[in-house]
Amino acid sequence: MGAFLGTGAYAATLLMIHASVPYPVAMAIAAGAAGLLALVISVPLLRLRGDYFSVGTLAVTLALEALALNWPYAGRSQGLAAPVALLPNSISLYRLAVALAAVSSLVTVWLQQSRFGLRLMAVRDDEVAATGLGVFAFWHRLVIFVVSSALTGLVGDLVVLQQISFEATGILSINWTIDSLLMTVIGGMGTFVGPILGAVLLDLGVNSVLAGLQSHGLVIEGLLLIAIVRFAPRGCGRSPLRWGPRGCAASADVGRTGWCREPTGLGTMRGEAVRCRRPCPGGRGARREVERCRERSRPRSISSPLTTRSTSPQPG
Amino acid sequence: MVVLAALVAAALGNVLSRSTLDLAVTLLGYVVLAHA
Repeated sequence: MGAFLGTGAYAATLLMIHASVPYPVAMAIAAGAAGLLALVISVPLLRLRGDYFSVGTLAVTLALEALALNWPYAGRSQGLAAPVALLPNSISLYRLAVALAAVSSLVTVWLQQSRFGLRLMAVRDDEVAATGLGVFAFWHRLVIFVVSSALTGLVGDLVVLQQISFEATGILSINWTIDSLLMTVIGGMGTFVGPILGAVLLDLGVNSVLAGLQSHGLVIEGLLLIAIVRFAPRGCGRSPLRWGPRGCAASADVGRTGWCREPTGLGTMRGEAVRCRRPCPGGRGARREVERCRERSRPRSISSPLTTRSTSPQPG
Repeated sequence: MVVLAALVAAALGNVLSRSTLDLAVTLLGYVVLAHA
């Protein structure tokens, strides 16, 4: 995360300093630079799985930090400062941030509703099973990796436009990775509301409380992350607050029309999203309806145990 | 709905103070980062 954020920040700032490029153009190129970096490192990184992938991306961040600290063109340890004449005023910067947040939210909504998103969820749930059902897992992981990196690069440019100057240890810090992980885990993974809720809680709650604690803040953030993963793994966006009619099974999602819908990609990969015939009424009826949805969505030709895994819905 | 919320938020920019705008930019940056 920090690698792409730093790439976006450095690309935009260097362009503004040396080529006097206006900030909208610099932002677009920064997003492209972060996406390009993701494309280049995806060749070795996407061969890794799980924890190894995380360690690999962390290594890229550390390597980039070392590069920035030793490269005179990037300001070494003194960092860089964007030319003030090219920076937007407060209102323009705010509107730019609103536009970026809207774009990222729309991308999330599209991913939740499109077939591409369903296939991605299938790859996330079980890559082997998804590949067995005909999904080209590497291509899907690559596309989402590049898109996600480009968005992160845009955030890096936003940080530069807001703070004007930055240094390598700050912009390429591991704190960005921890913060983004905390936000997603606090809010709830795989939801639209989750990241927004997590960002509000982290920025207005955790960060403001831990602001004066220096390095102790990192320890507390880590402990908080462990506690959330242990006691509320579904995040605040799902477990304490229920978004949807009461009685729907915990593993069932509620679609736009209030109908029960299978949330994972594996259940809905075969064509259209599978929906129940009746609105989710709650209780045992809803659970039976979700079971029927799963039966209809289960591939007939492949008797994979993966499609029947974790299919017992929890009472609402 | 997202577009409507963004338009309302953008229109609110004129009435917010400089410090509030700064806070909002940070918060919105975090939102993008969390979505990414």
